[in-house]
Amino acid sequence: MTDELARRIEASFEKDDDQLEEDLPELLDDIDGQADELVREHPALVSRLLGRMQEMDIAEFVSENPETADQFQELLWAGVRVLAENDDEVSEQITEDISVNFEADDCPMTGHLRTDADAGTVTGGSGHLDDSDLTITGPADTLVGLITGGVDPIQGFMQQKYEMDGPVHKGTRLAPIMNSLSEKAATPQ
Amino acid sequence: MRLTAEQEAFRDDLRQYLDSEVDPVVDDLDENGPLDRETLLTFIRDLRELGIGFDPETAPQFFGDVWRFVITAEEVSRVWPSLNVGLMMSFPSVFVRFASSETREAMLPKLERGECLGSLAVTEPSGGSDTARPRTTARKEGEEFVLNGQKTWVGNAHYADVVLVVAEDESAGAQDMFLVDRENASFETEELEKLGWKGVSNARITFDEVRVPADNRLSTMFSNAIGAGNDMNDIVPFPESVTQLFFEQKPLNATFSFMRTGMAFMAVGIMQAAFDEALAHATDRETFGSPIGGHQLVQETLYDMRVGLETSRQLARRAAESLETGSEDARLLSSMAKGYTSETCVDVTSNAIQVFGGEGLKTDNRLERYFRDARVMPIPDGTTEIQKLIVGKELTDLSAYT
Repeated sequence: MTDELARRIEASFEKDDDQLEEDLPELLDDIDGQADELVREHPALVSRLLGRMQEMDIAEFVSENPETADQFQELLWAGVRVLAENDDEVSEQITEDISVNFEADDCPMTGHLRTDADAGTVTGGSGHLDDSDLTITGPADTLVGLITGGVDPIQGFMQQKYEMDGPVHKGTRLAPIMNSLSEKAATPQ
Repeated sequence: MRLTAEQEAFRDDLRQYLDSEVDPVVDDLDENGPLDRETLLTFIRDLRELGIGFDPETAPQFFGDVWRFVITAEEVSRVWPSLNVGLMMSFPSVFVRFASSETREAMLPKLERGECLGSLAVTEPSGGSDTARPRTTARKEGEEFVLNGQKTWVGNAHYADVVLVVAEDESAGAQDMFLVDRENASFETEELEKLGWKGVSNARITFDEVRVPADNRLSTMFSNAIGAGNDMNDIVPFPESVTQLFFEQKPLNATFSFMRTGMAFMAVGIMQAAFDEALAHATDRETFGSPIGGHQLVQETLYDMRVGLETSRQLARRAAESLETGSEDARLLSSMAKGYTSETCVDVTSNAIQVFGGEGLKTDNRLERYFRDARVMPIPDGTTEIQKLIVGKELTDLSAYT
């Protein structure tokens, strides 16, 4: 049960950004290992927490707290995973197997995403895959925005907020999946 | 490279049309330019019959085949560069299909008839073609963007149905483009008198609180179109090799590479026309009892002209090949080709006048038009200086212009 954790997260929303940033490493440490459960039991809360984090300077946070960067991503990807596994709208968008590596160009943060067309799932995590179809490079807050809905994938690409390498058709198939995920992430469950 | 039988047939049909329908009227039309909308549309309708155009049916086979595109740029420019500019500058109208419902309602029927003339507004009076930092702004207000600013040297501006405007999107803090359709928005244009390309309209445009639907932002059009299941090539009718360059060299840079390669072939077409006339004159015109082509210094001039023409054509073809294969050198080669061929065609057309002597200076002679049209080439779509800086950046990975 994650109710106690949820109460602490709820309480953290009362704090200002500086205080939240200070408390976040400990909070993420406590979430570590319970991320999936937390997302399932308190999806709206996680959505709010990720929303608050988006208002922070992610690159600075990761640079100052490198050990918590992976925990932050685990929470992020747990959210994505849970959103995708129970949502027909998201699953319907997954028509192709696509693997993507993410690399922040302003802090030491790497991540990855993989879609499975047969299972209709999206999984992700920290670190790189050995052989990805696409590589997305850009500022950390843009990469997080791509996942949480703050940055429209196509619009962000056209406005040169990030760069993408790999086959163009994989990129165009990935965009609706990201859009659909981020719409869900932005909507309180 | 060798053209396929189909590409050769395409070129032959185009040459036949240009020689029979455009060549007889070009001198008069250019002298009295710029063309009016209806006259330009007459040519565009004819060219559409040959598979050249920007309507949904024609664009994929025209822009989607690099060689058709460059053959057209060269052959049309051999007869009338202004017509080539009027035609190519209409490219932005392809985006009408993915624009807001009100723009589609107003413009789609025209586009499907091949009669929606387009225009691209990049250059600004105060900032040149610095597309990364446009001073024209787009302010978001509700479901609209409000454009303010000035653009200059906008081809087709007077009669274009849609204008794609580069502007700073204040809501995103990034540069974007906005499709303005003339049925739902109005703006002032002021024709620019110029040295060459007299057959086509170039104007200054002032955007004063011009409102466009939010869905007319280019990045939104792409987002909506891809969300609806379209591929990149459904939106931009370039070959897949070129849209792949959207990823590797950014969308605007890849589009510039495509268009600059067309400009290089345009310069080749102008050179070919000047060379053909100079050679014919050199073998016909007699001085001291023999054709002037028999004089050593005239032969040297012809040598210089032909070398300039052939090296330009080969470099332009290398650029086209790099687009066809999606080579990482596409940006380098297209800038090199645009810069080199533009400068060379000034020399070649100047030499053609030299071969003609005093006759070449007469305004009723085409030589002076070739020279005036050639002299424009090193300026638009990135001056030769800009092309050199792009090539320098591609060679060294060090930017000298930021």
